[in-house]
Amino acid sequence: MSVPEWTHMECDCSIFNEYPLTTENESLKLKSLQKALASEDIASLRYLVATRSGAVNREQRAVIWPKLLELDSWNPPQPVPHLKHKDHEQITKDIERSFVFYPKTDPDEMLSLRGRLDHLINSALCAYPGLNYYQGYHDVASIAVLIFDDLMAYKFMTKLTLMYLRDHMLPDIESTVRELKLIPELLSLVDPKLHALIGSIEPIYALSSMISLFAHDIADFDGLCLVWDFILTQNSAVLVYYIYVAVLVFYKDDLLNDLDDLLGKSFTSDDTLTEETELDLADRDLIHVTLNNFISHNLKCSHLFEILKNALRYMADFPHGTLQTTKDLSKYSMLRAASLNPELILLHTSEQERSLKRSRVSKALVSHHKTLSMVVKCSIGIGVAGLVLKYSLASSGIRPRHLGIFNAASWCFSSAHGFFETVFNGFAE
Amino acid sequence: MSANRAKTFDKTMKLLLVGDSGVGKSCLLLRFVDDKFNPSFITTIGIDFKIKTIELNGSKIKLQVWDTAGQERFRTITTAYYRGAMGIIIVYDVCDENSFDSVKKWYQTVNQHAKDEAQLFLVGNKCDDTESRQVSEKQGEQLAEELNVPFMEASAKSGLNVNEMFYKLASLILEKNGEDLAAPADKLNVHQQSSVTGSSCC
Repeated sequence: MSVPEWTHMECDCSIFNEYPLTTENESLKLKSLQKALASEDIASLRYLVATRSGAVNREQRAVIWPKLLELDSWNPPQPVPHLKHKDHEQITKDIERSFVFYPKTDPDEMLSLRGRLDHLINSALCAYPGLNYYQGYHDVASIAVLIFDDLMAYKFMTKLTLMYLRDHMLPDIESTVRELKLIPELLSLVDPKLHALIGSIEPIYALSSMISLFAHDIADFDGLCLVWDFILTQNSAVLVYYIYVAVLVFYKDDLLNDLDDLLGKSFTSDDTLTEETELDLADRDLIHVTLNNFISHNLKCSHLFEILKNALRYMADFPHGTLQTTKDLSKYSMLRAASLNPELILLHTSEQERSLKRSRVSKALVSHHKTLSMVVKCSIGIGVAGLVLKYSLASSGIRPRHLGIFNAASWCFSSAHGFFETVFNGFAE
Repeated sequence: MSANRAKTFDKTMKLLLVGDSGVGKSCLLLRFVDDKFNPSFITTIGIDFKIKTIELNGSKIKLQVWDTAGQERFRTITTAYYRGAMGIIIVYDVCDENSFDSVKKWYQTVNQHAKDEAQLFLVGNKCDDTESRQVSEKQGEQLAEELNVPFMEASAKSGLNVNEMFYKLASLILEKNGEDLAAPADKLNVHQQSSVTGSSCC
């Protein structure tokens, strides 16, 4: 979804973007937010939230986020009490490792938070058939627990799941891996020089941030909420990818310095960053690990607003609909299909299963290629040898039917034919 | 930064930790590299590594230890990294029978994706927790014998056997590979750090 032009134009010049925000302007912003809420003016709300302090604080967010997601008209299935999702064992393990960064609280409160989280994850996943749990979903759900009461947390998570997360919840991780390719593609447009250095690295380094909407990697609650303020103004998960690229570009100098240190090269020098930058395996490993920890190590919340503003600008300049990666995604992907019909999860799943089956068969074809060509060559060789023998024997007066060699040649031909048939039948299935 | 730093290690070894979610792979790594233990540890998503240089038989060896996500759905991503590993540690939790039952599955996955010459190692973590123990040391030994891999019980919490398991694995790899181990190229003359990541996550 592309950003409306006024967001792009006016985001920079709003008085609510001044730094530091004066008390006067902050109270004006709060009043404006209240007014937009009271008049159900969602467009103004989106505009106001995408300014420096976002939706301001936890209390405001508890009211504003449901409006941004338009939860008034959202009616998920009634949650079944005590129903456990099929992945509940993994969920339990992850809940034991939840609320690590925040809130700083006593053991009793922690127990209660984790109980609520368990209930929320299980009920949200059971709401629609075909949803699989992934590690990182618990990081997302824990934010909902901290902002909302149980009922609203359930409404919020069910819609967030269908709008922002469902592609990560298929039986296989393939669709997530495909979407991650948005990062190198965007980087090639936004900062070709940085792309020349890291563009060939598999973007698995961004996995935890993308599937948790940054909740796994930003350890500051207010900072994370500001990121979510911006994400939730968009009605699509796509801004998440633009934000990731904006972080890399914003901290490009730090990133290059880190890589200089680790790789013993001078990436900070302009000459090094050319299309010809060649990396060996050890370099690639080090770049992966640097990027993998980059957000948790380098991102400063005081820079977040600048980064988010840049992300919106990149999104306006390079709409995701024009990117090749988006075009390559399934038509059922949350980044392509705006519909929230839960049927899409099942359709996406069966499409993915078919494509995995096809790729398994083509792998089988490749691995049988050598055997196949050997059988064919042998068959032809024996056949040709048989014909040569036939004519040489005939010319010397010996009758060929006395010899088994022709039967052998014909067997070789038919076995090659049978092999072809087996493989291609498999492929057709 | 200078590319002409003094060589600080003679050989480099890539190791990999695998095993079910929650068995303590990241904790074992944190204990080994930073000598720390954090009871509330966030989940590992994707794949990450830490580096520690050790001294073995008079030579300095840089261990690059990869830590992987335990959840099944991340396996297609992590198995891509098995190929480069010289040593693979399969970890289970002695307080979680299911994780012990999964060892054979991990063993198969490793055999399918790793190099034939990769040295495997079986580790039962959390052996300090005698109250919750579900898998005896004997069971661990028997399984290790059956799979024909070396075995140790360890505790990231107390630190017991953590250094030992990494040293033992490194020395087995050294015996197997000897001089074939990758010597550091010029560009890899990185100043020795106990960890490149220093992170408690991923």
